[in-house]
Parts: sequence; structure tokens; C-alpha cells
Amino acid sequence: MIRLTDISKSFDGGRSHAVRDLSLEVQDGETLVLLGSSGCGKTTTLKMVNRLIEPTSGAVTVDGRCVTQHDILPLRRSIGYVFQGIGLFPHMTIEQNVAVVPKLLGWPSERRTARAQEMLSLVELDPVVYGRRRPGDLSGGEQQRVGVARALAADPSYLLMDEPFGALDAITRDVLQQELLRIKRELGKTIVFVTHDIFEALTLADRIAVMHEGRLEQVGSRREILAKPASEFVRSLFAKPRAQLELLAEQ
Amino acid sequence: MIVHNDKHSLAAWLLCLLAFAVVCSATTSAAAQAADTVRIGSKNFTEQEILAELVAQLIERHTDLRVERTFGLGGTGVCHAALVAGELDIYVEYTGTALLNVLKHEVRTNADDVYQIVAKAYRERFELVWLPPMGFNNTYAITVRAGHADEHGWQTIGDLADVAGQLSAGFTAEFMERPDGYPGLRRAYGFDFGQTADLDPGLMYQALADGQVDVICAFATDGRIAAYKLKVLHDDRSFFPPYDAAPVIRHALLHDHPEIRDVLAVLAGTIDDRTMRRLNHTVDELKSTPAKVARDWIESRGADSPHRTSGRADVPIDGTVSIWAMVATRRAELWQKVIEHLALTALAMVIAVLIGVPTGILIHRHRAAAPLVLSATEIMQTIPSLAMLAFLFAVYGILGATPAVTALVLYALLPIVVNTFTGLKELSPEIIEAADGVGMSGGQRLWMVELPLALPIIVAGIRTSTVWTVGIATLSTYIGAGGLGDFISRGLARNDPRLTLLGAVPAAVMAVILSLAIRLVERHLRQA
Repeated sequence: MIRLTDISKSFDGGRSHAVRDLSLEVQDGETLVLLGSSGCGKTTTLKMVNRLIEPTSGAVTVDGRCVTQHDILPLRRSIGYVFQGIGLFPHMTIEQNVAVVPKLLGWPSERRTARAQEMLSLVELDPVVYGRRRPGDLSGGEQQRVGVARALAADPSYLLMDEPFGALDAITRDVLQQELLRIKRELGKTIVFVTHDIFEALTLADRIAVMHEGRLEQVGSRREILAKPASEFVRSLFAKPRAQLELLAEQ
Repeated sequence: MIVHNDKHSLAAWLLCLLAFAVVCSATTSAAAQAADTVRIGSKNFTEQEILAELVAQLIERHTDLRVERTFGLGGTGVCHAALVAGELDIYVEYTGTALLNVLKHEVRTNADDVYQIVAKAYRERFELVWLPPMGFNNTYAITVRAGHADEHGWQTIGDLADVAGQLSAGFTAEFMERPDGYPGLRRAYGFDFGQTADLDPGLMYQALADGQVDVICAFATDGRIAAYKLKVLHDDRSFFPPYDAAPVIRHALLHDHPEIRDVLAVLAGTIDDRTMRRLNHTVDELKSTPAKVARDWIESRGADSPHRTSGRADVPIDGTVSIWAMVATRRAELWQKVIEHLALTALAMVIAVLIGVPTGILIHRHRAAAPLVLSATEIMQTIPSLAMLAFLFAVYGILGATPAVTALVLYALLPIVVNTFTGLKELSPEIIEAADGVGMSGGQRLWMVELPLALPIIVAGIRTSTVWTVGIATLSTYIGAGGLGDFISRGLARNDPRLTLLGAVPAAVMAVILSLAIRLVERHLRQA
């Protein structure tokens, strides 16, 4: 379980706040989507989980232990991370990219290779075709599949995903969303997923956490958020999907 | 004729550094030397090389000692400092030069007085021994074109007083600064020339003959004075002291090997002005080599036993042979110089990379230090190469590869440091965040991600440095570090373009080949 307790992050010595007094729990096995517009603090919140950003105040615990008590490198290696800009290493082959965390963990090379091939198959990339290529040879969608495979390679319990499909075209995005749901069913990971896309949130989330100007507006299941918006902001945010749903219901 | 006024201040600076070298070296204990080796030096003009060859070949013929030649050193300061520091054992010096430039005494005109003063002072201050004079006086000779002199009726230096302002003078860098050079001449005669240009000693005769300058500070024993129809003006105010040539030798060596004094006795009083002029002429105009001229002179003395050693692998050269024939006959020597040059360059580059890349990494990690370090390497770059060599010679007090490689390293650093720093700085922040996010330590991020990605840019910096280094390494000859610069400076000293090309062309080819080779590596890295 990941628990955020009263975390705040301010920059410029307190003049600007990215996140204010946010408390949140991510249950084991669920997909929690952090939803909000750009600059609402959702990516900052995500990065505080694996200490890419340190909170100004408050505490983050993973499996009941405060993250500041973890050694930072083992902590990061034990949490899969899929980056917004994909962030594959351009000088490494696809196989090396996927095997990077196992390598940092000191796995022997045959085991790394086997694992990389397994992961590529999982994200539906043929290891024989793609293993020796470099990121530059792949399309955006293929690169992001590799990004997911890399995040999963060391079999982490948690997966942090920072707008991973934001730069992809709508069709590829739909396909990858379905892939993610399948992978989640197969592997049963706990996922924190950041997006500004309401429909993506509704597709993937077990629970949605709506953020606005650094604060948490509401956390709840899709049904709760659609049926009982906690604030005017949440209500207006979901006005369009609600209208579509009502339309469907009438039909 | 372009006149570089700023060169004067540079020359002044150089001389200060060389003087510093003398002081430094005088305080350094004499370096231990191999017991059976005699190291012979010379300054960078023809006569010096002929005399040094005479000394070298006599020792090779008549003793079991091994001879090491370090010829073409950049001036009196370097030779003297090297001798005092025990880096050289013997070179031929001129009494007037020693009196005024080394001992800093007043000008005197009696040759015997000057020799006695100099010999005594060298013995007491430097533990150096002056062997007997060889018999000729290589004084500076203020020289003009014979036709020009006839036209105006010039006989003496004093005759130039009224017209000096309209004349342009070409003087050697050393003459420009010596008390018995232009500064003293102006005081003694009370006039300035309209323009002055610093000229290489090997080039000034031709420059005068061609009318590019009107006056030069010729050496009285130079064969080209007659060959080029030049006229030496009489020193009517007896400004120039005597410049009797004699071998100067370390007392310690003479003590260990007293036979050297006997072997060199044959040189005492046997080379008069005319003979020296002829020997110089044979090298400068007939394009023979100092080694051959020396050998012929020794053999013409007759009383010699046959060769014991062959001396330097010098082959007689006919003045008319083409550069290709020269390459063919000097193949072994050329090859040796290429190897020396390559070794200097390679050693300097390896050290520069070992220092430069980590420095670039450090200033990338500690960004606050970057401006300071970068400007320091930039300033290094602006120091003129010869000044740098002279300074490092002063610092180390030794000749050869050590100061030369140090200078090359200092020049090579800038592109390597800058490119390493820039290459790392310009990596995409997303890649860096990804490296951190997957849990790489700082060192792992550097080795696995940052350096491999910055490598093509770093290698491009190394390529730039390498090309510079090949070029700058040609100057190492002035502190006796060898390499292709030896041919270039000898070519300049003897006004022999073939020799200059023999050094310059291989150096250029080497730079191009190395650049292409490194470019291939770069391309390979960029594709990878």
C-alpha cells in the first residue's frame, strides 16, 4: 500500500505551491488515476512516491515504511516507472533498455535476456524482431510499449505511470489502454496513473483522484465521482461524459 | 614588408622567461648523467650546427664515449641554462655573447681580456670551462646591399645616421633584445631605423638581397655576405665586442674524461674567419650538411685515424637534388622524426584526455566551478606557443619531451574540457530523469547513460585537439624535443625550402590522417 499523508511541495522557498496538504491511499491491486489539468500537481505528487521529488512537508509510506527510511536506489528499482517522455536510452538496444533495472539489480546476463524477451512478448513486441533494434527505429506506440516493459522487468509491486500515452494518436492510445488493462489482469500490479484525459481515467481507473490547483478535490470510484461530485469543479469536469452516459441510458 | 611591432614585446617577454630559466636552472642541482655519454648542443643556426658536429665527431672518432646530439635549440638562453642544469655537456659559445648576455658585463673590445674575464667567471659561477678559442670572430655585422652602399657612399655604420629613418631593418629576435644588439647600437650611434622586423637568422640575407629590408645584423662568418653581394659596414665606434668562438664544457665531465680536452685541442686556433665562412657557405648555399662539412674538415686535417664511428646518419646532399631524392636519401631519418612526432602527439593526447574528460565531468557536476575552469583553459590557449615552451623549460629546467609534452597537454585541454562539459550539459533532461527514475546511482548514470551519449561530442573535441597538437608539436624542436619541427627549423636556418617541406608536409599529412581516423570513430559512435 502507498500512503501519502498531508504532503505539500512548494518551490521558491514557499512562494509557489505545487501540492498542498494532500492525503491519499493507494490500495494493493487497484489502479488509482490522478486526474487534473496541467499544473495541478499530479505529476509532482507521483514523483514524490519514488523520491524523484522530495516533499516539503508530510510523509510518503510504501508498504508501511516511510520512503525516506528506504535507501533511495533500491526504492526506485523496486517501483516501476513509465515516463511521460518515454525516456528510453537511445544508445541501448530495446533488449538492453528493458533489462536495465535487472542489470542494476545484478541479475546474471542469461536471466536478464530471458526476462527482457518475456517482457517484450508481454507487451506484444516480437523479441526476435525488436530485441536488437534501437529506440530510434520504433514508432511512438512501440516505444511506449517498451517503456511499459522496462518498468515491469524487475517484477515490481508498484507501477507509476506519468501520462504515458499522452503523446500518442487516439487509436494507438486506445489499443495501449486495453493492453494495460490486460497486463494488469495478468500480473495484478498496483498502479498509479497520471492523466489529464477524463475518458482515459474512466477507462483505466478503479478509483479516480481529482486534483485542482495542488489540492485533492475528490477521491472515489467512477460511479461515486459521476453520481456525487464533491465540488463544482468536479461536477463541471465530468459534465460531458455524464451527458454521454445519460444519452446512452435513454437509448 | 609587414612590421610586427607587438613582436618586440613578445620577444622581451621571451627573454625574461629565458633569463628566469637561467636563474631557475642555476639553482637546480646538476642532473645525474650517464657516465659514458656526452651530450652536445647547438643553437639554431648553421654555424652552430657545424661546430657542434665538429666537436661531436672528434669525440666519436677518438674516444669510446657515446655522443648525444641536441641541436637547433632556441637561442643562447636555452643552451646556457641547459648546460648549467647539466642537461647538456658541451656547446660552442661566443665570448662577447657570454660577456654581455650571460654575465651582463659592460662592453669591452680587447679579445684576450674578454676571453679571460669570461673563462674566469664561468669557472667560478657555473663550474664551466672555456676551451681555447677556435680562431674566428663571428661578430655581428651591420650589413647592406653592396649596390645600395655604393650609391650612397656608405662605408661605416655611422654613415647611416642621416638616412636611418628611411631605412627598414631586419634583425633576429635575439639581436632585437641583446645589449650588444639593437638597443645598444641605437645608444652607441644615436639613431633609430625607420622600421624594424624580426627575421629568422636563416632568412635575413635573402630578405636583404631581395630588397625587402635595407639593413640586417649579419653574422660576419656567413658565406652569404659574399654570395649575395652584400657589404658589411665598419663598426666605426667599436660598439661590438669580440665574439670568439670556443667550446664550453662542464667541468665535471672534463674531470671524469680529461681526454676530451686533448681530443678537442685540434680545434684551437685552426678555424679562421675565411675558413668558417667557407664551411657555412658549403651548407647554406651548396646545400651540403653540417655533418658532412664537419667530416670533410676533420679528414682534410689529415692527421686522423680512420673512422671509428660513422657519426650521424647524414648523407651528403647535392644542392640540386629534388625534394624526392632528399626524401629517398633521408628516409631513415625522416621515419625517425615521424615516429618522434607521433610519440609526442600521442603521449600529449593521452594525458590531455585523462585530465580533460574528468575535468569536463567535474565541472558538469559542480556547475559553479565551470566558468572559472573554462576561462583558465581558454587563457592557456592564448599563450603564444614559444613563450609557453620557454616558460615550461624554465619551470622544469630540463630540455626535451617533458616540457614539450606539458605544453602540448595544456593546449590540448580546452576542446576536450569544453566538449565534455557541453556534451553532458546538452543531454535531454528526460533521459537523465529516466536514468534517475530506474534507480541508477550517479556513477552508473555517468557510465551507462551520460558518457555513452556524450561520446561523439567528446571525440569531436579530441579530434580538434589532436590536429592542433600535431601542429604545435613542430615547435618542440626549440627545446630539443625532436619531431618533424627539427627539419622545419633546420630548413629555416639554412634557407632550404626542401628541408622545411620535409618537416612540414609529413606534419600536415599526419594531421589530416589523424583527423580522418578520429572522424571515422566519431561516425561509428554516432551511428551506434
